[in-house]
Amino acid sequence: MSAPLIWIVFPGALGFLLLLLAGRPRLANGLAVGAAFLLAWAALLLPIDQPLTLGGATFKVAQSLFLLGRSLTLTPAQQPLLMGIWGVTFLWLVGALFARPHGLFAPTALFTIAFLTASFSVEPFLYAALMFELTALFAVPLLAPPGSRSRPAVLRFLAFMTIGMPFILFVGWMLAGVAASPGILVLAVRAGLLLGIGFVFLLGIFPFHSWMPMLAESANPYAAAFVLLMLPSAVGLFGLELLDRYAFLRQSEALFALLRSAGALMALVSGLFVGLERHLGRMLGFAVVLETGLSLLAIGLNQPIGFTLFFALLLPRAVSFLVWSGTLSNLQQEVGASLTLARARGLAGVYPLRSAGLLLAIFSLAGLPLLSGFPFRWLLGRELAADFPWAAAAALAGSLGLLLAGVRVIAALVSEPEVGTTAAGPLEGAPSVRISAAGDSTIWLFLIFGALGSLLVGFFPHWFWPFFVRLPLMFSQLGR
Amino acid sequence: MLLVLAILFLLATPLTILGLRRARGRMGAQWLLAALGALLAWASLWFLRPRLPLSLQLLDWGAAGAFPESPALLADDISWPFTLALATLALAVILTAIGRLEDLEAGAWTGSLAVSALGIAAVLAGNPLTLALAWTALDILELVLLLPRAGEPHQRRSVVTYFATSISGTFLLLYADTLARASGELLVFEHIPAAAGPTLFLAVALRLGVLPVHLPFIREPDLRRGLGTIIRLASPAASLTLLVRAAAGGITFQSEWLLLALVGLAALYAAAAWARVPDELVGRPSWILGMSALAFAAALGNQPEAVLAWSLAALLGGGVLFLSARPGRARRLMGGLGAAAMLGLPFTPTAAAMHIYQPVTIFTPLFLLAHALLVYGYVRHLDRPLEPVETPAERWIQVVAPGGLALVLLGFLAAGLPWLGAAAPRWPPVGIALLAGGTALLGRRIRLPGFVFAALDSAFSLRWLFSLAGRLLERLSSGLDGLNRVLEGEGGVLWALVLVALLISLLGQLAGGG
Repeated sequence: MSAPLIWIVFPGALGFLLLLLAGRPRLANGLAVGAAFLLAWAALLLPIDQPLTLGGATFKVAQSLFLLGRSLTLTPAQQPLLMGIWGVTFLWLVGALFARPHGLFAPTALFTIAFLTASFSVEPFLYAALMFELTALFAVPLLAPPGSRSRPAVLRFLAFMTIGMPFILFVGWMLAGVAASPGILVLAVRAGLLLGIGFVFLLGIFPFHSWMPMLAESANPYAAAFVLLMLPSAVGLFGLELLDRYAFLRQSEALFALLRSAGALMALVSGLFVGLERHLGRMLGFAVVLETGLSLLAIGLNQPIGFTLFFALLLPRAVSFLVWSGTLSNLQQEVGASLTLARARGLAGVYPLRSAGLLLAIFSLAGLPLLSGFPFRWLLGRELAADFPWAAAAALAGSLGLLLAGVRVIAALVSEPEVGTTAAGPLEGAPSVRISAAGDSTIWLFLIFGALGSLLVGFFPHWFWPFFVRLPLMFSQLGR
Repeated sequence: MLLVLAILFLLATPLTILGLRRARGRMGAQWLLAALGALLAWASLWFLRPRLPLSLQLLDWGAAGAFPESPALLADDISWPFTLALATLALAVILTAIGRLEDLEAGAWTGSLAVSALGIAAVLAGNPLTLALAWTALDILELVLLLPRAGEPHQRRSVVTYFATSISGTFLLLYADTLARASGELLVFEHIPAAAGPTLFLAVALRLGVLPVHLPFIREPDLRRGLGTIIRLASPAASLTLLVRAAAGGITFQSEWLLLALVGLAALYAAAAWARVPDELVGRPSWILGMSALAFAAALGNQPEAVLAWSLAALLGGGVLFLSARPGRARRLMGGLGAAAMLGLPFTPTAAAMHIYQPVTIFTPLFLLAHALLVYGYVRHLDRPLEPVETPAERWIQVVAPGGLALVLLGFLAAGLPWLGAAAPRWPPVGIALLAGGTALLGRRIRLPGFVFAALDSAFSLRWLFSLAGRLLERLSSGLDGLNRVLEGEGGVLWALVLVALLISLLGQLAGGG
């Protein structure tokens, strides 16, 4: 038995099997929830590459699995990451009970995560780009189920992923040359340049971000947010892996300056876009751009605390996207329409719990004190301010943009519905507060989990910090 | 532990009352519990007084080695008077509630106690991090309490705008922290770096509505007298504490005269509005704005004692008037004493506030006039006929309700005790009394047309600014829509390829043309 078999092949295969249960989404979701929980639990308890005695039999979970001449390797140092990934996946699969995305969500989530796990375990590691492309391809049924109107957005998403992939693969070939003859500066610069372009597409760095708001607007918000959370995070992780492996990248001050500039630009631009956006789904898309910008700023610090912050920012992001997209998905199904600010008018009176959940998520991502996004953003701002105050100001401006979006959403939710906008507002003769088809207890559970989770991280970030400090240790150089 | 005792009492009591309500406890028992909780909180502060200064780290964020600061509380000569003021107001709200039929509702008492608890937490904040946390908690609680009570759409808009400006103030505080760090220093209350000072001032000014001058509510949501008073006073108290600390730290501005002029304008506008509104509840936002503006003037002169005196006068002097709803001798007596205290007479808590008139500057008449109008408005509202109470109160109510008002006055005296005998200029009280008297005389003969104030109200409510900003944002939004259409349209991928080509050529050149 090997670790890749447990955390990559098994969930991937289960995902494909669950496709057969697409007609019974609750059962498929339940099985996926169980599998994700077991995988997270296994990552916490099952030691890799150490003898293990079970019922008298001794066996060892090997690190590597060889497939078609390539290897997949998961080391003990990567176990905290595996636990985090499957823990978050478990939460998203549980949240699906409330968000009610279509039946393909659970199977697709499983094999998406399997591919993304493979992306940071595959050797030669530049094959990760191929894994991202496969993830994108397999996510298509999730994002554009038959009859959906999200085809242009999904095509754009696929196009950008496909354009980005060859750059990374090509660089793999070049980097072999750079490693062989490190003195050739021009080769190193060209490799860095092409790598940068590949990342621009994969991460959706401004102005190549268009697929993010497009997906968030037209696809199911929950499914889109899952892909928008997982894929850029995995690509960021791949970026860290590159930094760790190649000294010429790690030692290039110009590269880190570029990362900071790109991050600051993304934070500023996305802050502006999100603050003025009128569609609640597209706001989520721009929030992803903002979050990617913050991650780049964290890496751009080029300090151990920056790499730790890269991981720390993922937790509030995962919880907030979960609550935001889950609430939005549920609301859209209740209202029967895609939600703009105009259509959201007066919804707080009809759906107070969902409205509170939506606001909680937005303000948490905006870094409002008390909520989960605050402590790590505050720390990032302080660290940036010491050496790059302009970058700290850009990060703050981005947060202010999201804050403005939150205020506009409150204003819409509590205002009177416009005459004739019955699609989103309470229908004539409808009760003043409607109880969801998902059941009031599900909503309560979902929101209590979201609120408590957010407050817990917001008040006690020091409980979580030691976990994040362990994550960069999976890199031999960056973790030092 | 002693430091958080008041907060714990004020938070535990509402929870207990909620439990009692679930168990269908009697209203009288609920009131008694509320009064007991508030009394214990108030009493715990007196045990704290001899032990000042006292600090307490609430959570150890630094334990994991990452966070440079942790949430902490600090009780010292600056924060203690504010905590006493808030605890006194909380107790007075409960005690006087029995004299007001509309306040006989447990929800209003629990809300008042919770807001007071968060207000005290904010006042006791030992560092900017804790202050940001406490300010936000207070803002969210106010939003939750105010929104359901805002019946009209414009009131709901006002509540949201008020929340937005308050939160913006919190973010400015965080930005001040960033600026301090950028200048190589840490923002701590004991030492406010010069780079962060102006931003910090702006943060407080924005939260108080002083700069840019704006009244959060031209007409407040329909709040009960007690809950409304606490809500309206707790948040300013949390901001004014920082103002006292900033003044104590000493902040220099490059264009101080301009700030003084703006603050003077704010004070005068608010005082005029306070003097002419029909009653003290309608004028509550104006009162707070006017008094805060005068506190700001003192802060600009780096006079922490004067800032503290103005702040306490705003909270407790105003509190006496806002909480006295029953006509009668008690209202006249307590209110009269409150009005006298507002004059800044020697050996009163506001005597230290008179330092803003020393030295005399070009702006002194502006502040004098504002002060006089505030005093005039106070007396006018005190003197206005109240609706007679149909059923005479029981004897114990006749004692307890005025006792609540007396408690506020005593709290005012106790909080300002350290400065009672301090030297202060003697002439301003005389000038203010004359000016207030003159205004009273003139006010009976000359009536300024209403449209003047309507115009001033629309100017200073900043609705025009929000409307202008809204239009500008609409334009900007249209521009961004255009950009989005280009990037997300049919030709979006082609545009991306063109941009990549540009990027390659640009980066290639930057990298030396390779």
